[in-house]
Amino acid sequence: MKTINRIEFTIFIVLLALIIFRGLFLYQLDQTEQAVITRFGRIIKVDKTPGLGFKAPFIDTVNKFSKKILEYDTNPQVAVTKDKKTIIVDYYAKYRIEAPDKFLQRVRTQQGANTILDDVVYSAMRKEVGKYTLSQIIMGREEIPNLVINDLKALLPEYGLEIVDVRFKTTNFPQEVQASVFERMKAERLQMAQKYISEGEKEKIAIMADADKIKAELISKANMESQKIKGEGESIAVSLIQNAYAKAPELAFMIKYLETYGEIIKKEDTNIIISTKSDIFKILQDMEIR
Amino acid sequence: MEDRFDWEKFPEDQVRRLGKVKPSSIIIGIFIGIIIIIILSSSFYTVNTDEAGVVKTFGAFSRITGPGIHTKWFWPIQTVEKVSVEKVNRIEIGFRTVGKDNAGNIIYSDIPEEKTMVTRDENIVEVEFIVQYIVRDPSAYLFNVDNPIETIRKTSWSAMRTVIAGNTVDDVLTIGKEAIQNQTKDLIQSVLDRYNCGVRVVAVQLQDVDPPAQVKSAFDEVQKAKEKMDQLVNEGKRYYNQVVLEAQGEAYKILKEAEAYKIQKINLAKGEVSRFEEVYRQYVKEKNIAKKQIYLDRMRSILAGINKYIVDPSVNLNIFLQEGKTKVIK
Repeated sequence: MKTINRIEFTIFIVLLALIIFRGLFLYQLDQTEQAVITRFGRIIKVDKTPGLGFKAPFIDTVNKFSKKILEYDTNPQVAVTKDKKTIIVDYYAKYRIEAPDKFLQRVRTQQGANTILDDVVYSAMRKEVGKYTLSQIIMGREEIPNLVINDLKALLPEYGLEIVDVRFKTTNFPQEVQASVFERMKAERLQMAQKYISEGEKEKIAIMADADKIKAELISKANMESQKIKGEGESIAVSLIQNAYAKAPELAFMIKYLETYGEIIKKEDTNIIISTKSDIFKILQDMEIR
Repeated sequence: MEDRFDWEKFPEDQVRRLGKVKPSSIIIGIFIGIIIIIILSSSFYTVNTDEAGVVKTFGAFSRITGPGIHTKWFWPIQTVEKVSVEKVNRIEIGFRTVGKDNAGNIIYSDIPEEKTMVTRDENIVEVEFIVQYIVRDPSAYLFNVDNPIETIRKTSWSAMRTVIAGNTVDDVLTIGKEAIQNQTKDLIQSVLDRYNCGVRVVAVQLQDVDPPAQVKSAFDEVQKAKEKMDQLVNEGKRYYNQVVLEAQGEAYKILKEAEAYKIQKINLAKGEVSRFEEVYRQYVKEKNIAKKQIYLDRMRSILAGINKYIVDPSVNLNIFLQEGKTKVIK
């Protein structure tokens, strides 16, 4: 009984020691990590598999690096465009450590990576920006970043790095140009305002002209109709009278003549000399003679 | 272990022997206790209803577990990371919510370098927007991209800039908002998918989109001009309604007048006809008498009131012509 207790106790102590001192001969890689194992500075193994790995105690060093997509970001920088204008470009890059062994030999740390990227990305960016005009860059969307990515695809493997993406955060006019941009914007706006007012006036005049046209159309059409209606009335009147008068034209004409005389011979403006031989006064003469 | 603890006598001798227990035994006891506590406490974990638990074995991904209480191998064999997969996360771009003032109003602070963007027609606009996302794939979210939140922010910023650069300032400020939101959302999603970031963009919402303060008044001027334009058009329409309605009225009046004229003409003719018919009826009975009678009747009324000279044809009429209007009585 005493012996068993002793064995159990010993096993327990050994397990405890294993757990506490596992770092001496074991190393653990997280899902997001990769490692380069060096023995006295010489690379003996690149391990990209997460989980436990073995190493020789004391003589092996485990250099761990992230497997994640890492970010490189810098302050906004000034570049010169093809049309010799300065532009502020603010961009970031996404990269990952693809070959940790090369990375360990040539870069070592993430700060080191930033320094390399400072040089490499900036010079690629400057080169590509110089191929385009200011307005092309401002509207140019993905073109330039894609060209930079292509450049970096050739340059970065040397450092064990792989470029994933380069994106503009800002492409903006430099401070000293901004004032003139604002002036232009103002001028454009005022022009647009004037255009709206002019358009309103144009529209107003057009609507009014339409109204006038419709008015003229309506009135003239009404007048046309009116003449027709009046003519109809006159025609009916004439035909009614004609039909009646046809029964005795001689009577009708006599009445008409007399009516006409009645209308044209007025008390106010007419002196009339009538012959005694006229029909109406014939009898008067006859009487004289007799 | 020379002076070993006597397990046989332990119960009886407990109190008596306690003082004689060696320090090393106490330390081992404490160790055992701590280890048991660690083993027990790290063998169970709870995943809340909105979370997913990502279990790793010696750092390597093993499995994803849903909500509830679960068991796992104790630390340091297995560890668990919990990620909220239901919660809609919100990222602010161009501004940050700072907090609340005493009155309870939310205070915002501007981030000028984030919100200043350039449109296709080379206008500067200030764009503030939010991006909402949820974690779609918890393991991808945890393992693939360093600092995913900052990555989503920068991607969103960059995507919005790209979309704004494809639109005119008028689209951005007025009608194009919906399209800009959708395009930006799609662009953010496609970039994040390229990184295999494990998130789904739920929405992009433009908050304030304004022209910069330096040119605000000019933009207001355009707004005023638009109102002025509407006003002018309305004036035109008012004139139109007035003139056209009046013209319709007038046209109606003209027609009715013509119709009245027609009726009048016909009625007059009818009157004349019936008058003639009356005379005619008498006329056919005795033509000559009727004729004479009518003649005399009419002549009477014609000649009744007027100045007249009844002369013999032998009289020289020149005297009348010379005298003009002077009356000469014969």
